[in-house]
Amino acid sequence: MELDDLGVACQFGQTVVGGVRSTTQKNPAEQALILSYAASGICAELQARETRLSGQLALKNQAGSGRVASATDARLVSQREYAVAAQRYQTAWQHTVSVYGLSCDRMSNKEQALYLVGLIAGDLSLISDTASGSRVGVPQNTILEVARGAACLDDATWWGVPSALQAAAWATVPGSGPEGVDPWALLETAAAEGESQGVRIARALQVFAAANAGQSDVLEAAIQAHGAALQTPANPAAQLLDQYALSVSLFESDQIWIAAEGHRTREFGTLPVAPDVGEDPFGSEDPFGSDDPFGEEAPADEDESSDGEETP
Amino acid sequence: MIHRFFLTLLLGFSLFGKTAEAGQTVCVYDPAGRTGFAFGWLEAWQIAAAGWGGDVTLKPYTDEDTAINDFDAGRCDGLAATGIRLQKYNRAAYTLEALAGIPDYTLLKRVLVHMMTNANYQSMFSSGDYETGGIYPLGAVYAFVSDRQIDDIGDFAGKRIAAMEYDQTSLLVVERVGGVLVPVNLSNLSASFNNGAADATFVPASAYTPFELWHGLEGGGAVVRYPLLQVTMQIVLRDAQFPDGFGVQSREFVAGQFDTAMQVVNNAESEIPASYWVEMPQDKIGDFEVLMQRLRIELRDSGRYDADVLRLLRKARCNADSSRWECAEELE
Repeated sequence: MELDDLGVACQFGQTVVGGVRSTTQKNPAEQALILSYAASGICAELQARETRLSGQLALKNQAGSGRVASATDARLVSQREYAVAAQRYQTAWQHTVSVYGLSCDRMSNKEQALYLVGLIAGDLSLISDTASGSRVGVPQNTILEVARGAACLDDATWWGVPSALQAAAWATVPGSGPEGVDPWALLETAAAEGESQGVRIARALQVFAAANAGQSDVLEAAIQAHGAALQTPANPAAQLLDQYALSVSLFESDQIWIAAEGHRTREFGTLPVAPDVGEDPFGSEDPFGSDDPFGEEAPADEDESSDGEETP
Repeated sequence: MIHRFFLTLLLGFSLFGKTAEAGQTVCVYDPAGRTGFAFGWLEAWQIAAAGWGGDVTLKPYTDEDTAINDFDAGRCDGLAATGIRLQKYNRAAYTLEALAGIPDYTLLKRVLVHMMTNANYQSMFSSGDYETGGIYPLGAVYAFVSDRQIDDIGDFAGKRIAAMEYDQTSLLVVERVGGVLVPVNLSNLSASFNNGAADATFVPASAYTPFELWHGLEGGGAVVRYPLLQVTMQIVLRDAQFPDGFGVQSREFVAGQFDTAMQVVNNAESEIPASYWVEMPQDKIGDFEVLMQRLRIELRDSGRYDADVLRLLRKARCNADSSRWECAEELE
């Protein structure tokens, strides 16, 4: 998790998966598989996101008959890529359940870190699978299992992520949370907790949950908050997770920018705004006065033209 | 003069004509939000719509009431939601969800695809300012019961039945089978059934895994394999906001998506273990169907169901199986 380059991490994951699978030790191998499958899932997810954005760009900017075909093709390709991501994340999640169950009793700090990665992979397996058109068949209650599994982790130690995983589930599945708990308020608290420690995963979960539920106000505020929080240096112990969090929020931001402006995010943390024309910089007066600046008389009104001929 | 004429013409189009150029927003209800499977269907529709002159933006909603309110308030030009909530926009399209109106998925496909692609039925999709732009299958509603002995009408008498508080049809069914109504919404449906506050509930199979309904089935419960009705997801368009011919092309596209949508339905049904499924006893099916017919007629006479669509559904059932008891009577 101390790596700070998602590309390197995903390549590492893909390489390591093959190596670890050939070992015979049970638990150490399973533990390594959690990390390497999660990391290789990132590869496929990043690719799927890019393809998805390219489809949105085609739909927004292209003209003519190729527009629909390009957007459809991008959607189909991204579904395939999301299916690969879903399969890898699900494998990481399954190894997590296999090694730890859904409890973190007597776990070392290192094991808790791995367990947390496995929980996040669980959520990502479902999210990627639905984006793939449910090609993998990840059970729909995975998000609730992840929420239950997160309950044993300490929020302060793990940058607010356990609460954020629970809140994201409760905000997504109606009636799944404890009575009296507002999942959106909990997400905000968790995001602030993470940001104070230089880890923006909880904020990214809030961004995703808000985009998913169509809560535009929450989404925009969360993206702006994520952008502002980048002033705080990333926690060296969790740079990879923090980089992943940024990629999640940037993806959501890109979709907003593409819909509004036809291109990706100009500067992360800012939102496209309708051009503010404001007041006429010249005031209400004609800047050229009533006289033609080139010294010619203003053309006569077309209605008054003598013979009705058009001026070229 | 000619310039002014064209200018006036252009202004006239932009102010009073269809505003396809400006783009349309469609509010999409999916309880799982943007990552839900129904929203995914609408994403494919959105792309295809660009080929019919649409420039559609989709807005996800996890709360159906909010989506409907935003549509009514003019914040969306179209609305995708469950058929039962769209009755006020087009009663005929809603009537395709009639109680026991379509007994199996083979007939469901024939009915939906034929209606959506055949010009003879186009008028049924238009209603005042609205046009139904397509109907996706969401699967049959089944009775989930905490005791597998509850498998025919008589067994529901005195039982506590959780039904959606907005669903007048289910409320009527609960009343007529002598059940005790437990009004629920999506937020407390699973708690009601899983914690034993209700003995039965009527939901499609797609609710089983997300709501972990096995908790309510453990200890002798069952899912009665008899389709009480077909739930659908329908797209309603505010006609004036879409280009001419958009609705026809939209329905043709949605008709072509039937099998894709059914994959989700079939997957959801296959997630319910075989041990939970029970068949309604053959000798009880007749009584059940008679009750359903009586309720359909009652709902038709009270103005909830469309008489023409009920008649078409009876014809479809009888075409598929002419030996059905209802075919000679023609009460619908």
